[in-house]
This record gives sequence, C-alpha cells and structure tokens, in this order.
Amino acid sequence: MFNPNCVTAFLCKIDISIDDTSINEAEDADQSDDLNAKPHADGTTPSAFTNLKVAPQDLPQASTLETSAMESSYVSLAMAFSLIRWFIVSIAAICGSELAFDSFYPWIAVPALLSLAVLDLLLSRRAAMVKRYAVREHDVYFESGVFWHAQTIQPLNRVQHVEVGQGPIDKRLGLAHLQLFSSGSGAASLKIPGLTLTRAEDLREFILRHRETT
Amino acid sequence: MSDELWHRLLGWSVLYFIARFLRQLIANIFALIPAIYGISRIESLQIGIMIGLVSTIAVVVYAVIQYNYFRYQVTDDAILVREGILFRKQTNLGFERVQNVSLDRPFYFRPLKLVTLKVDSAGSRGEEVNLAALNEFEAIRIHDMIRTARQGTAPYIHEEETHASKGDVSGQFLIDRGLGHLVLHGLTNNRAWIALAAIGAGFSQFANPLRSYIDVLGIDFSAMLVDATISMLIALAFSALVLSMIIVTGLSIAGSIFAYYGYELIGTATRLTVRRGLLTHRTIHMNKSRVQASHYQQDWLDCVFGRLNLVFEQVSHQTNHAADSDRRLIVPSVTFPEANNLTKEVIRAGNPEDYHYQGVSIRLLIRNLCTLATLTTSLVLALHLIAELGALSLLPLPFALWLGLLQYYRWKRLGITIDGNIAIVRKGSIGVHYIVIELHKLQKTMLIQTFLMRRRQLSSLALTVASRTLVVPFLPQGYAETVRDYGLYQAEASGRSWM
Repeated sequence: MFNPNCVTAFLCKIDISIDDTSINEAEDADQSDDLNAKPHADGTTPSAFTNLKVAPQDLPQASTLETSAMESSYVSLAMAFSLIRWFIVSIAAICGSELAFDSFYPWIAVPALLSLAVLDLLLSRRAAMVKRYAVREHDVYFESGVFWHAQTIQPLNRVQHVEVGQGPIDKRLGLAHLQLFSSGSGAASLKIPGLTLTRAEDLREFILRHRETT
Repeated sequence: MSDELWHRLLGWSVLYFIARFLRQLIANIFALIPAIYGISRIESLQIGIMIGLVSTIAVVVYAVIQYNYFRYQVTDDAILVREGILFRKQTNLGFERVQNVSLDRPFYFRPLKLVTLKVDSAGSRGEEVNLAALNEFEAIRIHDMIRTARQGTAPYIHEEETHASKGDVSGQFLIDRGLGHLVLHGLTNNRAWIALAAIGAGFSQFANPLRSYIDVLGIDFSAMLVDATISMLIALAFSALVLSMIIVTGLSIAGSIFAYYGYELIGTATRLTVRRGLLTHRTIHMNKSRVQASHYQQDWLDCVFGRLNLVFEQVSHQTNHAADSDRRLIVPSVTFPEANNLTKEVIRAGNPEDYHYQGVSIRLLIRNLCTLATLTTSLVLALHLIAELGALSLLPLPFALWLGLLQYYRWKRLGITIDGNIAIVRKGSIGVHYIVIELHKLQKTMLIQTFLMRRRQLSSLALTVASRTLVVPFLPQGYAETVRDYGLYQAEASGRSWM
C-alpha cells in the first residue's frame, strides 16, 4: 500500500514512542499518586503546575460553594412534560401499530409503554431535582445531569448577552429560564431553568451591571 | 442617507462576481451531478454548444446585475455594503468587530493591479464584506483606517503593544515555506478525500460503459473469473488501491501547492501577516491578541517525516470548519523548534515538549479496552454464528489488537499542564498534538463526572475558549478542581480581554 521505506520508518517511530512513553510511565505513576490527594499541606504545588500566580489553596474554591436548588414547581413542570411526552408517544404507538400490524396487542404494548413512561417520569424528576445553581461575584455556577453530572461555571466578564425566557406552561407556574451566551459556542453556553421570573430578571440585571463595571 | 456617499466598485469587479458564482457552483457540485449527467447524454454537438453559450451569457449577465446593485461606503467607524438583486441586504460591519483583513490578488486581477479586500467579522457568520477590484491604494487606505480605528478602541493594550501602536509597518520575517514543504504537507494531509468520494460516485457511471466495452473486446469476464486464482484477484485489488492512492496523493499535493505557494509569515508586535497562494495571491492580517489557541497538529504520516502543522485558531462558530478557512492560520509542515518559536510570537509559553504532564487515570484505558473487547467479541460471534464464515470470522482480531494498541498510546499521551497563564493539553496516539491556550481567554469551564467516576475521585475537565473546547477526561478530581479554580481566577481577576 505504501512505499516500504515509509513503513519501516513508521515502525521505527512507534518504537521510539514506546521508549519515551515508558519513561513517562514511571514518572506518571508516582505523579498521579500524590495528585490523587489535594495539593500538599506544606504549600508545594504539583509538578504539572508551574509558575502559578496564586497558590492553589488561596484560590476561591468552587467545590465548597453553597448552591441552591431550583424552584419546587420546576420539578412538577419537568414531570408534567414527561407525562405530555408519553401521552403523545402512546397515541403514536397505538396508531402506528394499528396501521402496521392491523391489530393492537394491549397485553404487550400497555405494560411496555407504562413501564417506560414511569422510568422516564422518575428520571425527569431526578434530573430536575439534581439541578443546582449559585452566583458568585464574578461567575455563575450551574450543575445538572443524573448520569453525567456536569458542573458548569461561566465567568461573567465573558458573557456576551443574556436572555430571560418563559414558555407557556412556565408562565402559569411563574417560572422562567435564564440563558447566558458567550463567544465560541453556537448555542447558549449556560441555561438555568426553573427560576422565578423575578429571580431571573434580578440575575440578568446583576450580570449586565457586572459587565458595565468591568 | 444620500446616494452620493455610496460608491460603486470598478467595472472589473464583474470578473470577481463571475468567479464567486463559479466557486459556489463547484461547492455544490454534488447537487449538480444530475445536470452534468444530463448534459453528458446530449448527442448533437450544436445543442451542446448552444447550452454552453446560453449558460455563459446567463452567468455574465447575472454577474453584471450583481455588480450594478453593489454599493459600499466606508465611514469613520464602519464599512457599509448594500447588495442583492431580489433581496436587498445591507451589511453594517463596525471596525471594532473586525476579525481579519485580507487582500486577495486573484490571477484575473493581477495584470490589472487590482485587489479584493476581504473583511471578516468577529460576530456572526456570513457577516463578511468583500470589496472587489479596488486599486491597491484605495484598499490599503481602507485597511489602514480599520487598523488605526481598531487600535484606538482596543480596551486593553498589553505593555509590549503600547510602544508599537504606530509605525510598526516593517514586520519581522518569521517563516516561509518552500515547494518541498508544501509537497510534504500535501502528502501528509489528504485534503483530497472529497475528490476520492467524487470518483467513487462517478465510478458507478463508468462501470456500465466499461462492461459493454469489455463485451466488444470479446473477453468473457465470468469465464476468466472462474479461472483466476485468488492471488491474482488480490493483486488486481492491490494495484487498484495503489493507483487510487497515487491519484489522491497527487491531487492532495496539487491542492497544497495551490493554497500555500509562496507562503510567507511576517510578524509585527501586534499582528501576523501571511502571504500565500498560487493563482490567488492572498495577504491575510490577523491580530495576535485574537489568537485563541495554538495547535500543534501531527498526524501519523507527519510523524514519519518529523513534521507538524501549526494552527493558530481564532473565534469559531462551529459551522465554520473548512480546512482553508481564514479563521485558522495554518503554517504547513514545520519542525518542532520552528513551531515553538512561532507559538512564542503569539503566546508566551515554553516548549510543550519540556513540560511534565498530569496524566489521566488508567480507568480510561480500561474502559476503552473493555468497550473494544465487547464490540470485537460480538462482531466475531456474529460473523461465526450468523454469517458462518468459520476461521475467517477471526479476521477482526488483528484490527482490534491494533486499535487497542492505539488506545494504549493515546492514554499514555493524554495529559495537561499549567504554566503561569498557559494551559497545554497533550494528546494523540502516533503523532502528538499539543494545544496551547491562555487561561485568561477562558470562556467557560466544566467538570463532568459519572457515578462510577465520583466513587474513584475522578473527573473530566472541559476548558472552553472561543475557538474550541479542550476536554481532558479522567483526571484526579483534586487536580481538575484546582485547574478549574485557577483558570477561572485568571479569566476573572486578570481583567485582560479575550479578544
């Protein structure tokens, strides 16, 4: 397929990379050991950290933040959405199976649909309950996700614009969501749902004010 | 606004509009395949010539109308453009949002000494201005206006830039690329896979005539097939493969030479200037402070030659990932020391090879190998039980072993290091990739954890700058949190702009 010289050169390259990775291996091994713990108490920093401008223990630590949960009505909203979703799915399933198989097998379809719906309902509830947010002086913190738990932090001086939105059902429950947009991400970089409208608007004011002062 | 302020382009700009139309046509070549097929079916020569003439006239008329409706205006702080035939469109590009300015000298403008001024916006995509067929003096005047306006309004000027705000026209030569480098670049970067796809699509059309041709020659192909030994078939397939490889590589080298011929990179204290191109001489100016990341790109073939491509990335909008985009400044086929020197022009970092990297947990490797093993086992079982291939069903095994080996190297290499304001991520399996970012340009940070990772105190770290998101999975949680806190501190407390 290739010039044989190329192939041998390529294999040599692999050999070389084996050599230097095996050197790294020894170093990496003792490295990761002392880094599994937090930085040392005596103030020395891990060696993958050089020339730090601030010692890590002096930094504001996001992991010790006090966070607040979403509004309780947001959990009901999430569950309501799950119910609506499954209502539509079941109608579609019934119609679809009528068309495809000329008959509808209730003893298979109903338990299957029901169990999936219950699973989704529980997951939606859980997903709504694990969402938490916090606002610091210079950034906004948001965590979400049941299986992949993500903690997102958006510095306020990188926010390009802010949006407060309300869906039709949100309106009934007095809820709103806040979207922050920063550069380089097509969609919103951070979306915090389940806030009260006044809270969302206060946050928007806070963020806009922050931008003016810096 | 009164009409006197609006300028027209020179008449020669019709050439630019024709070229632009043709370029769009070629870009949509796949949509045109039915039309091309239809044309190839026309039997009479006269009708063919007629169609050719009519479409040429149509293209020219279209370009003339476009030229007729095109008006532009340069004010003290913005470029305004009105264009469009049916849908009038007015673009208002403020100088403060200008990302790059480039001067293009396409081959058809070169004898006329005209240039096309292209201004990219840092804002949304499609908001760019092309002023065609300007004379050189006018283009440079507009360019200087944009530059001085930009420097005047720049909110944060670094110490090194203040003394150089005026009169740093004389740049320092940084690097040039000879023909040999471009051939290497073409060899190692198969930009011609699109061409390969086109050949593949076209092949089915060639197959039928080919078969009838063979019938005419009186060769009984099926009889031959029966006699043909397996080895002969393999030789046939192999030579076909080699041939297509040669074609693709040739196209790739040609593409590289067309794009980068006469490559020259010049740096002043605040800007980088690139000159390149065979048919279209292009001069691109890029502000150093707008560079978001420096990416050392080394694929396995680059690794053989000990070369890499250095890419300076600017703000991107996801949809814009064309290899030739002006938002990414590519320096083709440089060596590591050259790449280090160039990176130092833009980002004050040490040599990425010299750092010690924080590796990722072995659990990443275990997870990936387990996934691979599961997939391979099920594939082998499926081949054995369903397709009943017997011993042949073990065929995926060598591939799986090879993939596993690559996974191992990838895991070995994956790592991150922090030096002052710089974060460097190392990755890649055979070739090495380094991505250097400045922490004060962080847009967002993310820590991601699954339930199993939390139990093991591991966490994936994602650092987003305007050009890309760097993800380092399975880091020790303490380390990931420290990097996040430190990066945020740099972004929030330094008060430096990301632009």
